Amino acid sequence: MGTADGMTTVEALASEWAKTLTRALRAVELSQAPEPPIGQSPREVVYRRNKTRLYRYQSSRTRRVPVLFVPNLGISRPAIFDLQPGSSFVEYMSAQGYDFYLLDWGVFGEEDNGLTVDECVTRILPRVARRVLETSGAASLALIGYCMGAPLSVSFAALYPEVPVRAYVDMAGPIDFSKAGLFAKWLDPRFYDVDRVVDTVGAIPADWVKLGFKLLRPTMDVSTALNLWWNLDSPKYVEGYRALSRWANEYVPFPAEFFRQWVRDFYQQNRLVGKTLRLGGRLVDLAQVRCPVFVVAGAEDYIAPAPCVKALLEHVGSRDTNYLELPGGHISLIAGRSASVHCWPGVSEWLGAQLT
Amino acid sequence: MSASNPAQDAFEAWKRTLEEGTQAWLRALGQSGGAGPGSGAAQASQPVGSASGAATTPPIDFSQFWRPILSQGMELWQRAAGAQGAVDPAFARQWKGFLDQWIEAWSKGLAQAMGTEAFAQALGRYLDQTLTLAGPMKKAVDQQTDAGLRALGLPSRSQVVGLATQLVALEERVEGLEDRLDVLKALLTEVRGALAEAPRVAGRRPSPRPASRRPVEGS
Repeated sequence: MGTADGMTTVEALASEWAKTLTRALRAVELSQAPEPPIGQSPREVVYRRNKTRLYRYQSSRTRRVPVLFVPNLGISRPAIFDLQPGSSFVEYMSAQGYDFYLLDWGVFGEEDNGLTVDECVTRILPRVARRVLETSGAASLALIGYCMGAPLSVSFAALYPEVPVRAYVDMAGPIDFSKAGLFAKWLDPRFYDVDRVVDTVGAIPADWVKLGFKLLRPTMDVSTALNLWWNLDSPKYVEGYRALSRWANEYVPFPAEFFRQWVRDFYQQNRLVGKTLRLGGRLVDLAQVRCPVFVVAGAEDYIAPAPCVKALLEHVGSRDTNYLELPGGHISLIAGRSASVHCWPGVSEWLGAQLT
Repeated sequence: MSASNPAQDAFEAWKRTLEEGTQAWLRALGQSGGAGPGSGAAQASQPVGSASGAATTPPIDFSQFWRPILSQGMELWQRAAGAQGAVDPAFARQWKGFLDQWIEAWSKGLAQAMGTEAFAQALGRYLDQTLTLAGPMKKAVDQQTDAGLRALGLPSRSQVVGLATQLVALEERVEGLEDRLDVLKALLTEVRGALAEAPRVAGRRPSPRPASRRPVEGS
């Protein structure tokens, strides 16, 4: 009896042995290879403030309304949105003709320990939005918030309804923190004294941030390594792995006061949906967001579970809302083959329909 | 080879090869003079200094240590492979599938365990202990480092951070000034526009006639 490919068992053994040798050789090459370049799409800096940069990407700009992408602050670098040619959300949207702006919050140091959520939402985001409108010459803009960038940007949209936001997209952004999964359990105020943490260590070190995320899925590294071993003879897989691995190992620290406010007001007290969040002295009322809203969530997202993300639809004042739940986790919405096939076209089509 | 289960036959063949290889290895050890002294696994030995020059001590059976584990692993694998019904001779894919399921099971189990209040409590206690140790240690290290840098006449970390903080505050003030200038600029533009509009509006109204020089009556 032979294998499905018509090989005898001995031939199959020999073939597997040959593959194993090839994989071992590739593993040695991989260990010696230099880090791959990431974040290569051409762009220019149109605004800078301390560590923060607003990038405008090259594009045909056939669509007049610019798109401002607001990612997470801290945790990781924004290179995940522009990983490699052919595997880049930024490149995809620019190719669709969008005038694409990415806000890079930057890597903060000790001198930024006083940075608060208030400052981000009431000082930085308004200036960034203004700069987008000035440089694009457009009368309105579209906002996309990813991960932590979603509660920050939607709070901005709610606080400043006079800013002409034509459409809003929440990609894997946690809104109702009572459904935020393991992080919500571990950050419970009965067990986690955020004031003591911040007062003792100041800025949360990048290693602590890394440990927190690794603890969410302790077997992730094992399965990643195994999958890499089994696919070492596929150059395309290896290239993708190297780029993703480079990004995945670049954690950044949290500014002290930002972390305190983020944990206390969002995770512990869930003020955003509780309509008790005050930023810049003003109450954040999500009902003030009246533009069309599109929410995208990952069904297996354990960082921002789907119910936590979907909750935005229950609180905005918009009548035109849409929801898309895709298989996969937090990162699979923004990077990888599944994202490029399912998520990105969905976001682009929806935005295109709103911005005509 | 059995026609019904080639994968099992492959396992058996591999086991036989392993056994034969082990025996060959042991024989080679025996021909080279045997293993070193102190082996607890040594069996009954031949008399020392035998005329034949062959191994005077019996070879040590190292395989007794790993054989039980390997046999158990092989049996488990065979059972898993058999349990899948029609055995796929592509055993590498089977093995990968088995590993993936094993990791997924561990992942689910760990996620359940870590989702309990007890785990959150334990994590919180561990963090408290870390902070209790880290706090004074960090303070002591910072103080010593500052003192050392002062002695060398170099700026301390806190001084550099303080300077950076001042720069950040300065940048913020400059931005505030820029914002106010933008507001003024917008106002000026509005006023200029209003002024430019005013003469046009004025030009459309009939201009007031100058006072006519009528002759005064009686002059």
